[in-house]
Amino acid sequence: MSDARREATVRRAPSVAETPRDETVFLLAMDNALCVPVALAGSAAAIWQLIPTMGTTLTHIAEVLSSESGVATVEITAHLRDFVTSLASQGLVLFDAVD
Amino acid sequence: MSTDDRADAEYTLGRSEAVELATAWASHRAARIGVRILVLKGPLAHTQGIRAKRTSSDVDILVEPGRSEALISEFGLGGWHERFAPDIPWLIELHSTTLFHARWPIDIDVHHYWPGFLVDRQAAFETMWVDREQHELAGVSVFTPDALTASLVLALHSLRRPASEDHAGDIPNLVAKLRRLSLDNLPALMTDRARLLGATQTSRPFLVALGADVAEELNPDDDLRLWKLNALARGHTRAWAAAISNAPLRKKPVYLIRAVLPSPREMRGLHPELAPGITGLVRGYWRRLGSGGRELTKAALQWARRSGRADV
Repeated sequence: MSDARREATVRRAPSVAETPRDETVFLLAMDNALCVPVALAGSAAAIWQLIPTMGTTLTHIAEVLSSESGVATVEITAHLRDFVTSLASQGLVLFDAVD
Repeated sequence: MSTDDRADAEYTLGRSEAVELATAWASHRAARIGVRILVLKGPLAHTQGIRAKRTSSDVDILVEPGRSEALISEFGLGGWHERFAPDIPWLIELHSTTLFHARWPIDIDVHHYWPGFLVDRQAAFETMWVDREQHELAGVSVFTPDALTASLVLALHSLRRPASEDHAGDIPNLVAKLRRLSLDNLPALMTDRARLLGATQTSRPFLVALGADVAEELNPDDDLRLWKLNALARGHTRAWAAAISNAPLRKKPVYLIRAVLPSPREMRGLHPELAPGITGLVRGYWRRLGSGGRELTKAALQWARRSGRADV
């Protein structure tokens, strides 16, 4: 089994409301205890758009960002992992572990 | 604008986005606890083609009868709490609870019923629910009454207090919007729906403007009489007059004093425009003593005449 197939996938949480304004996207995790919206702009909003409802790997997202920005994938990955982890802590995305 | 200001503006939740997100959240949380709600007015009225696009300052939802407490409790878990409302009499029973949240720029108004629909409240809700439409806001499914009922909701909202609030032009605008929808037999359809909801008389100015032939009820029942009285009211003077009139003799002075001299907290709730501090309060009381006393006497006499009471 390749490394890519062993990597956990990330997907949007099912109960997230989303509405855009210009370059910003406002999100609300509706099953969170507190009803507090989150605003993402710039690269944060771009990353959010790359997270599908069906799931993808961080490697894949990093590769897309790398091809768009010219920054090396390895440089992107660490920051990306931190950011997506913070999204998970806010109930906006879910990580699906592989068997 | 500095760079920091731009960043703040970029991340600040505007009312338009807030209304969409809060509507989605309210619908989701209501469904989660098995409570039926309908979204009223707001951006969906524009989607339905019955109102021009405008930014709402709150989310209006109608909750099925008997479930308001459960819903407000659920919303409380998310940080939405009841906004202070002065304990004052109303000609028409208070129809909503306003909720606020420290992190949101808008309120949520939870309506227990919709004033002007004079049939039994459960029957009114079921009629609205059966013909509901499903829409999507912020990517979430929400329910709203169909365009016919939604139009009656808007019309009644404008007709409830036409004398006290700036609703001039609402009915002509609504009629113009509806005519653009080119629905067959619109006046008859709207009248039938109004009849089901007990609103042929309360929404009569709207129905007539639409081209329907609705005769005025010359012997109104209590609910309709109160509706009409409320429609003529500008402030709360008539409601106080009714309360004083209906109160036992020994309690009349208490009501009268409370009407003219509410508590400082109620005073600020009733007159948010008052300047902060004691000076603002004193000015408010002085103004109220001057105009309120005269208005109250006049309103009490009108109330007595309209209700046929002789004990005022």
